[in-house]
Amino acid sequence: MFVLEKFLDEEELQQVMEIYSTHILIKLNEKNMLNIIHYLIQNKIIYWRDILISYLDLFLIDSMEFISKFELLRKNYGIEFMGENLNILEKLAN
Amino acid sequence: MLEILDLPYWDEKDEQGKYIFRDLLTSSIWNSNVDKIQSILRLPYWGNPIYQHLLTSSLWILNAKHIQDVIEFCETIGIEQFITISLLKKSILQLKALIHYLNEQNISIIINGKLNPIFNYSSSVLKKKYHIDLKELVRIEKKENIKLCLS
Repeated sequence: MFVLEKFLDEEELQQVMEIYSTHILIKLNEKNMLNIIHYLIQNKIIYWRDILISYLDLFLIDSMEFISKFELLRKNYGIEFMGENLNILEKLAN
Repeated sequence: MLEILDLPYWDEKDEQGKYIFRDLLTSSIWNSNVDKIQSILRLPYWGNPIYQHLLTSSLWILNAKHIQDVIEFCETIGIEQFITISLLKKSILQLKALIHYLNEQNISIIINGKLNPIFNYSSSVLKKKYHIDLKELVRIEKKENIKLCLS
């Protein structure tokens, strides 16, 4: 929860608590999450907060695997298109 | 782990004799626990064909009550056949706020037989490209809900 508290405001945290089952929050590895968040910010993915809130399960994926899968999506669809079609990120979960 | 595998749901079949829940037995299920799994599988929607596409391993991360709230809300406005896993990852206030926004702007919720793409936009794209502040819409929605409760 520390990482979520660091990056999200109170309303966003409430949203996370509403949507997700508590067991997923317990399973999140802070270091892994930070790696992914830093990658997204460094790569100027302006919707990184949306990913953190709406696709929190993706942060359970090992950061190296997440980055390589995300790069593939980025290459196939482009960052802007992904921002308008966030559901594409479901592909990362499979 | 055995407790999960011992649940009776895995043997349930639909009218065509196909196992309803077996495809949900993927590695991600081990991130969950038997109570959470049961609370999702007990929901009354899975026998209905319009909801069976939601039976994916992505369900395990979601709060059962939230799944129920979203489905109930979508049923009240008649868009239940358009529910996706992505839609289940939105808060009820966000969904209400977006629906009210579309209604106020006279924009269709359903376009060409699909849910308006606005539901797939990230909030930053909504704000930057379409000048729609989802957070503000949610705040307004929240206030309206409080007013309704107090009246």
